[in-house]
Amino acid sequence: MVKAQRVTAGDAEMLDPASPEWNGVRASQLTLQPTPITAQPSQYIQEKWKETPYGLARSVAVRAAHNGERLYFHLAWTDDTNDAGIHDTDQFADAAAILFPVNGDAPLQSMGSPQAPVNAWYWRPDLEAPLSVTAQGTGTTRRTQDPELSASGMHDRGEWRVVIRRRLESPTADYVSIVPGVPSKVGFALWQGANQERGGLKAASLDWEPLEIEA
Amino acid sequence: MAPEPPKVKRQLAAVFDMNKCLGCQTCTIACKTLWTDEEGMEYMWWNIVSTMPGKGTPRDWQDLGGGFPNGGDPKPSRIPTVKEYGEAWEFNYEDVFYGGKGMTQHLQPKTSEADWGAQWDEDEASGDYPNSYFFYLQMICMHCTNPACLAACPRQAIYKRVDDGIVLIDEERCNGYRFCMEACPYKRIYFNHDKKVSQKCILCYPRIEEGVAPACFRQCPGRVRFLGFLDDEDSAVHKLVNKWKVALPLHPEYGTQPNVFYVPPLSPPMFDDDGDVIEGSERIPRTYLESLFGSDVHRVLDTLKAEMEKTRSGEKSEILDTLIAREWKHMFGGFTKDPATLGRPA
Repeated sequence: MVKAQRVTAGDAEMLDPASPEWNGVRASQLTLQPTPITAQPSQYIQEKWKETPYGLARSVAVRAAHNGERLYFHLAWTDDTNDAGIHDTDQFADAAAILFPVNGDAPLQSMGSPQAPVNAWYWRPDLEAPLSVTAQGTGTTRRTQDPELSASGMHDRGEWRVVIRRRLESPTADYVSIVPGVPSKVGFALWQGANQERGGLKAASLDWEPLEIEA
Repeated sequence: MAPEPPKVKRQLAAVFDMNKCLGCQTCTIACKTLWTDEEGMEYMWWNIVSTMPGKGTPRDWQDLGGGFPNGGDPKPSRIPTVKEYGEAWEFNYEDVFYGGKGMTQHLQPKTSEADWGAQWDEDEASGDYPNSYFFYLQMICMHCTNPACLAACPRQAIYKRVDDGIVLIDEERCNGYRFCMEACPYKRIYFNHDKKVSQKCILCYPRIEEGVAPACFRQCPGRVRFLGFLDDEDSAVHKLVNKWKVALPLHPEYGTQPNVFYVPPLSPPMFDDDGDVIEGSERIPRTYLESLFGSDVHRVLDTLKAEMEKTRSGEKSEILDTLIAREWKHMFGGFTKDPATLGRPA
């Protein structure tokens, strides 16, 4: 269960992963699992990774807060290497994503379905801004720019701390809208760049986590 | 098992006659100036001519895996590094030419140690003098019938055009995961560090659509490159590949059914210790050529030699006439429109 507490702090403070504002927000330690090898969408990926461990970030500490206008997620996880950029063809950046069903009962493992889309907020340190990702099943993700999305991350002493935020309300039906007081669901995913994790090679929530938004 | 190949109506194919290649890289520069001169593409060579036997570009690509060996499961591979592809070095021109250090510093890359680069082993021969040898291998995307890159992509960002079989990457769909770069056994795909997408030879499809042969074909001063639909019985490509069967795929065992075919290189004879020609000998070991083109290479080389023998005795050889290509318009399967007549984007 992730509970988004109501706070009064301003945007700049909440966007700072090291801000003392976050000290007052309770963390939920969530377990992540590698996406199953059989769910990897190409035979090449299955052959290449069948005996290689991936989805190495198995746990994430999640804090959530909102100020009536914007919803903030503070993610913290252990990662010995800071892969903030792509400096070579064989390098991949660390990344994190927060996934929501757009409305109701979307399947999480398959990244939604044609009838039940999902919406993710995808953060990567080498991107100027986080991306809004919509999907209606494995391999269908579409990345878009959402000006309401913002994030900041820092890597310090073997740990990533990242804040991703968006306006609660979404002006478009493609993106999730979040209403204080109305229970919702959320999932998380992490990619370890140093292990060449990208796409479906990730650690992710096995099932939706209930998300409560304090009214 | 390898997946079912994507269905196409027709397949454009190429024949490269290795016996005519000068190694001048005019094709390489024609491609570079037309397609890969933007930021993030500095190290790309969608077309490259490597000296063989050699490590090739990227370095040792033949040892990296990929493809569907002998039609089987995809073979895991890895992504070559920029250094293995060959870094686009920045040189210390300012210091040496304008900074007054011309007598103390030599011209050298600013960014890394110069111990490998694209074309590092260019014109390096194998074998012992006076029987040393090398030849040129011209590489572009093979526009395979069963592209391993296409099958590996988890996003269907790579597609094979139904009307001509050209394999393209949709940069809108590409997320820069680079599984294609691993899966391609010929290692002809690059990563654009600016756009963060994979990119490769597009067989100059905008020219193809206007009836113009690709730049590397058209600019080749040695008339090495033939183009045509495989099923166009009037095209030189059809005749060389299907009718006379003197052009072979490179590494057919990779299982992707490439659509670039090569006329394998003939050899000069060897000299013995006294400096006399050893009649009937060949400098390039057949075993080496067999490792590139399969056992069919023996039949092809024997056919070419027999055809040359025919012309020496005054007979005509349609195969040699086609390969010599006295009239360039006969080389391109109808794609002979003058690019200068095309409209330019505003």
